[in-house]
Amino acid sequence: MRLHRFIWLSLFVCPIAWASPTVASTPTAGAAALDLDGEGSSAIHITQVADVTFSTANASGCTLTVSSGNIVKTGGLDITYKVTSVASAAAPPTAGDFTIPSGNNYTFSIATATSSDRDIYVMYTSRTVQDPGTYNESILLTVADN
Amino acid sequence: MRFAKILGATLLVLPSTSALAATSDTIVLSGTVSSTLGVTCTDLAGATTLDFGGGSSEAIVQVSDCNATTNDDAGLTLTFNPDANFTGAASDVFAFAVESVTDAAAAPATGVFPANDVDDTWASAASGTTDADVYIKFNQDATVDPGTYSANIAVTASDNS
Repeated sequence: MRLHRFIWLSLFVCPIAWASPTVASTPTAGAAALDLDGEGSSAIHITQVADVTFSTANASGCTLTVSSGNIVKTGGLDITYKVTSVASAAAPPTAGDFTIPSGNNYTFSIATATSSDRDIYVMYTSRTVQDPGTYNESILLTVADN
Repeated sequence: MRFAKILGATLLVLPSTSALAATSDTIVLSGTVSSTLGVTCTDLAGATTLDFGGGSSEAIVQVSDCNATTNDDAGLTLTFNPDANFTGAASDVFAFAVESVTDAAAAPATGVFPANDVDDTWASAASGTTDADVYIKFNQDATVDPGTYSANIAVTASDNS
């Protein structure tokens, strides 16, 4: 009788685990080789940095949240960047599509129990004269049910 | 016994489903800014017409204009490394000292120069360009053996960070 209770409890827990939203990203080659300028000239750069797939079994869908901020190097001035996304394989965004200020989270939601593929882009401009060296940053992706 | 097997299988599945349910991930960004460090020195006419035998006094002569640039926020340092002496076919040699000053500034006084055959440095503290005038100091010899005497000053630039 006690075994029956354990089994029913386990079977009840399993669907909850499956219902959790998921997110997985695949970085592009460009993410680790950003063109930073800073050697006497600079320009606006819009670069795809990852392919992201997120999904949920929640009937109300889920929301993908993407952080933004600074690409940094010790001893160098920060390079701020913004984030946006487009549908997988869609045309790259333009500068006007980056509406979320740097340092704030960009979000993208789906409204049903489904999955979504998005291309993540960053936009940044280094200074004309930028301290030489390697600059790094980690963008955090999170997903939560609506 | 059968219930125990089912229970075991169920508990085995639970950790697997949790592991698949990743609710966060990271994208690692990286990029490199290359150094623009560089230096160009223009030898002046006086550098190749030095008067070693015109008398017996001390001579201070500007020999070069140097222009350097970097994008290093901490600036750059130029190092002037002179040969030990001016030498030629004859047995005479002329020791000399090197000193750099701000572009177009007055020639350095004799007491400002370091000892002969000692490196001189010129540093900036920020990114951008910097200019330096390079002077040498040597003592003439009224009875010097005739001939051509020459020496080099090696100039190197390095970022400060």
